[in-house]
Amino acid sequence: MNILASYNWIKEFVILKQSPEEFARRVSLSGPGVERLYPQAPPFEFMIVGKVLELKPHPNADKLQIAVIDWGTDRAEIVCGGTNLSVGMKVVVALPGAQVRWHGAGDLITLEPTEIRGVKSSGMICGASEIGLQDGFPHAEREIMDMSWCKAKPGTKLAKALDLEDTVFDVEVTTNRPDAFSIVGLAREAAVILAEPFVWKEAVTPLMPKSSKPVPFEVANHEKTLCTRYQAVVMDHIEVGPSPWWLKNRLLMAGLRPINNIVDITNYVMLELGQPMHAFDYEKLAGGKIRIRKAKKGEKILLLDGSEKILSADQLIIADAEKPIAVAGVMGGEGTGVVDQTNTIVFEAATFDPVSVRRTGRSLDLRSDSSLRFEKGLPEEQTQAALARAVELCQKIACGQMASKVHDLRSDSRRRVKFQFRPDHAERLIGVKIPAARMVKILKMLGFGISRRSTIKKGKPVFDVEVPYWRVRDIEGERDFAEEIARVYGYANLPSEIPAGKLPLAPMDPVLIAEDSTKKYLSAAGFTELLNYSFVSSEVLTKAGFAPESCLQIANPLSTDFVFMRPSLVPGALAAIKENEGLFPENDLFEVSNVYQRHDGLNLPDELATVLIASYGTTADDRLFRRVKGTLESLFDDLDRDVQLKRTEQQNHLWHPGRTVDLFVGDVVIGTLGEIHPAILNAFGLAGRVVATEFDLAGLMQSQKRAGGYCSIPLFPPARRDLAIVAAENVEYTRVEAIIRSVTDLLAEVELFDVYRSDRLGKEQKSFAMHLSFSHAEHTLTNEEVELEISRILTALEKELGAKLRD
Amino acid sequence: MQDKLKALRDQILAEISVASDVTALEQVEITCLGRKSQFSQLMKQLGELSAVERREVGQLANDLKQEIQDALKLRRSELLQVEFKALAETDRIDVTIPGLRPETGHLHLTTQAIQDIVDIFSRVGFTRVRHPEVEWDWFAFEALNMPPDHPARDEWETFFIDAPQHSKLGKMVLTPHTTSGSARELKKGQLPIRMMNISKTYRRQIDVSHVPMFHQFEGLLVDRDVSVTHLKGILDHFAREFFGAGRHTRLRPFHFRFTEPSFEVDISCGICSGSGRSEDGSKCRLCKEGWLELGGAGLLHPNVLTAGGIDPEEYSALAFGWGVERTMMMRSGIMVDDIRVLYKSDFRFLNQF
Repeated sequence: MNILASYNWIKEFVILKQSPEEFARRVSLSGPGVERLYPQAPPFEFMIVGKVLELKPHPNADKLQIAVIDWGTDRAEIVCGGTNLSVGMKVVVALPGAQVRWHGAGDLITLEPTEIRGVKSSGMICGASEIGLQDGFPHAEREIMDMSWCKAKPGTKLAKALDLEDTVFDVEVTTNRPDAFSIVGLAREAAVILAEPFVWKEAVTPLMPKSSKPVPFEVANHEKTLCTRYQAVVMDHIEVGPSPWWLKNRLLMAGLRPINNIVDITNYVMLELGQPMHAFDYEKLAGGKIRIRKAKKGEKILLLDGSEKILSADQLIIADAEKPIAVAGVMGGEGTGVVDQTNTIVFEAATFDPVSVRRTGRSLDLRSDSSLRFEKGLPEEQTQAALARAVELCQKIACGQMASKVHDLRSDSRRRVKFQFRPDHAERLIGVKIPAARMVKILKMLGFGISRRSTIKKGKPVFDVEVPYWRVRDIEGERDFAEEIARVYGYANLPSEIPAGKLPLAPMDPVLIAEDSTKKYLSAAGFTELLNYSFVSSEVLTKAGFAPESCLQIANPLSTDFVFMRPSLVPGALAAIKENEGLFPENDLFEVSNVYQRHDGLNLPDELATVLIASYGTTADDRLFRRVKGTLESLFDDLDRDVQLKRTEQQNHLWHPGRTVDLFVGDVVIGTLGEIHPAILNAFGLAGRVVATEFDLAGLMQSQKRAGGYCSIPLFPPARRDLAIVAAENVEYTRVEAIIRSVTDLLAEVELFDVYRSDRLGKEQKSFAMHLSFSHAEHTLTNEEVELEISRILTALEKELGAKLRD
Repeated sequence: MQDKLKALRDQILAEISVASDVTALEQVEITCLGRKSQFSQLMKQLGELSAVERREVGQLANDLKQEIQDALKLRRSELLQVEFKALAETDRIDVTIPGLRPETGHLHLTTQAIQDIVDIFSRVGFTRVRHPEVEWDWFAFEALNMPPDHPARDEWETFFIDAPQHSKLGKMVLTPHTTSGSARELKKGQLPIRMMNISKTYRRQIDVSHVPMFHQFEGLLVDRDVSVTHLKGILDHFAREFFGAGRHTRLRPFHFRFTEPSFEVDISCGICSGSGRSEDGSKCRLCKEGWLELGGAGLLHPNVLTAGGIDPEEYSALAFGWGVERTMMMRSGIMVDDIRVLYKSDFRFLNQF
């Protein structure tokens, strides 16, 4: 969570002399991270405060005047059309070089000395919108910015006069440190990290003057666990109006819009102390009562952001005698908000349960600066200081007077949290020697209470350390002290070492190795890797013929696209092919990911590492099939595994019945290779054909490694022959090769190099052309020996298959 | 005879000197020294001479032959020089024509990063492991020191599986971080541990900078006397190897439930070299004041060790982890304006890597 923090504001509470850059760098390394720096003065360069000494009519223009301006060292004439210009007024003078936005619109323009309707003008008297200050100084059109309230002398730089010689830090504070999510909290951190004095003093609640008579006011807390402290005070004689510039300026720098002085005070206190506050219009509280209770089911409230919410019975609200007036810790109601006519208000500073605030905010779809802080968990102890500060400011800038005592409903008394601290343990964890006294000093500076004397256990000192109230939620044990010490000591000051020690003997899972080599192999072989979501929609599953109800289902999916954990990589691949088919009519792809198989009962699903390889295109012949099959075979060679491919006997909705084989490791089917069934392709709207294989990688890797071996290089050259035979169309090649191998012992290799079909061969006939290679271990084969083998082969092929030598 | 030989020599040398290319020269060699050449004819007549003359003439013939062969060799090398000098014109191809590439596929960007990360940590003794993506609440949260009301355990951050609840292990979830794997690794009870776990992880968020499924990397080292200095050592090793020698890391205090102390690991920006400013002086478009957030790290919280059955008084552990996709993009400077494109399986994207 990020906060925009003014450096000048921080410096009210810690005496610092570091540059903003130095502050950012050092604080980031030991505490909250300063992510960005925004210097405030640059936009106001070449702008000064001037005083109008005299006004003269412009000789050539009715709507313009010539103002004689005192700017400290000198005086000058400036042509101006401002309707509110008067003698004695202090104004903003932009000099040549300044950047302004004409009438608050358009791009920034750099001013140059100029002549307006024949009269020289030494600069420009600015309206607030022309220099980006309209949020702080709202004004009517053609009015210039009145600086008469400002004590700065003529000639003072505008940035100085407006306290804009400042830098705003964008600071990331971690969610466990709401105490540092405030100006005072950041100052406390900075004081420790930079070793500078922290000078913040908690405000003290004044007592109600004896002379004033309290107004009727009651507070009742019906939810003591959800609201652990509620403080409230009534203030009257309020004059609601715009806040003074110093207050507005700080809200603006923090990114908040000034509203009116009362609302601004609550925001100011929240920024300064980290404690959200709220102000109610007392006169609109029915019965002069505040009740902290749960909403009644169906109760409605119109909120300050203009939205109307219907509440449910688990939501904590603030109510008056009749109705909800705020969603506790989240947002106030419109009906009891402070407006210009308000005379009497109630300030609230309370502590609400973080989980309740978070869940209520979420379910009402509301987030506010207030809920952001409450969600992190705030200490009950800080309401006191916040309320006192608000009262102090209200008295100062809104003429408020206390009109009730401070009501204080606290559910339980303060918890004191203590842990033991063993410096030697901290040292081992940090990894360098740090003197115990240094450690103790760091903890003390952070506000921890340390027992003056340590006890000695096993020859080592042990301290008792008490956690300050603002750290009670994040400090959970002794270990936290080591972190506090290490960060203030500085991580940058620690050496960097590769740990020695015993290396564990853990062999890597063969499936992980195989995944890696499969990916490398396939990408090198021309296939492109997909990574699809593990989730799949009911629609895609159904198209691919899978029953969604048999799949693992997500109870709270983000959308209908992401409902089921996929049981196969095929549906996603088909959907991807469909998306790409237009621009890429053919392609080769693969994915290696887990698929999920649901188990009933109290068992996690099986997560099976699965490989999918696919080629798609428009050819109807066997080329796609052979491409995937060949890739698969060479992949298995690469992984050193024996897999048998056998024609599928069982029909399956996904696969083409005439073009599919199962992958066997021994007797176990680990996957399938085949063409996707035309019915499935139709369902996906695919025009071409898709051949794919999907198999279980763990199943593959469970099989034995292929038996290795070595054949010595033959001493005698092989005899090579080409053989082309003609056989019936239904004769499959594997059979041909098996017969050839069975009748000859001299065959070293056989390689099919062509399958040919032609009318000349006859109907339903095809020709296989093969390279045969014969060899003998002990002599060079003679032509006669080879011819004898060929004739044996031909005889066998004719006898078994009716195949003949091709003419 | 001797005169004839000398005349023949002169004639042959003249022919050699006028041969205009290597082919012509070879022809000269055949016609002048070949079997049917005049020279050979003369040699055949050698037998008709007296022994004394034969020796004399024989000697002369050998000398002449040597002289001619030298001349041939010299001429040949001259002609070759000429030929080689002209090669640029006479034997030229269009070298701008595209190369014939082997068919190449593409590894997904995420896979490339994972392979690099595995290599880098293997070298300091970490072994890759895998743990469930579909996980029990106990491992995903409870064992990691995340109390039941922690925001991450709410419905809008984590995916829950439509399955019955386990009495001890709680609900079935899609793990939102690889740290659940560390919880399982601790439970194995085999010490010391140096493991890395890279896995798909899931969170209920989808927009230009978030995908509901992404990849996380996690390293875990459990041993005696593991300290922050070791964490720094390991992270520096990674930064040097993955991002290059000129990049450095820094640890900033941070907060995670399962580590104490916790850090955010920053790496100096590669675009602005850590200055936070571009060349024109404006703020760097990529980083925050010169640093980029790499990931989280810390020493395991004693409660997490205890939940894993390990005595935190005896052992300590360091852990670190981050999003693979983000890390990859930080290195390559690939500015993917919408991260969802990573998992859309669009070949126009995939083919670029």
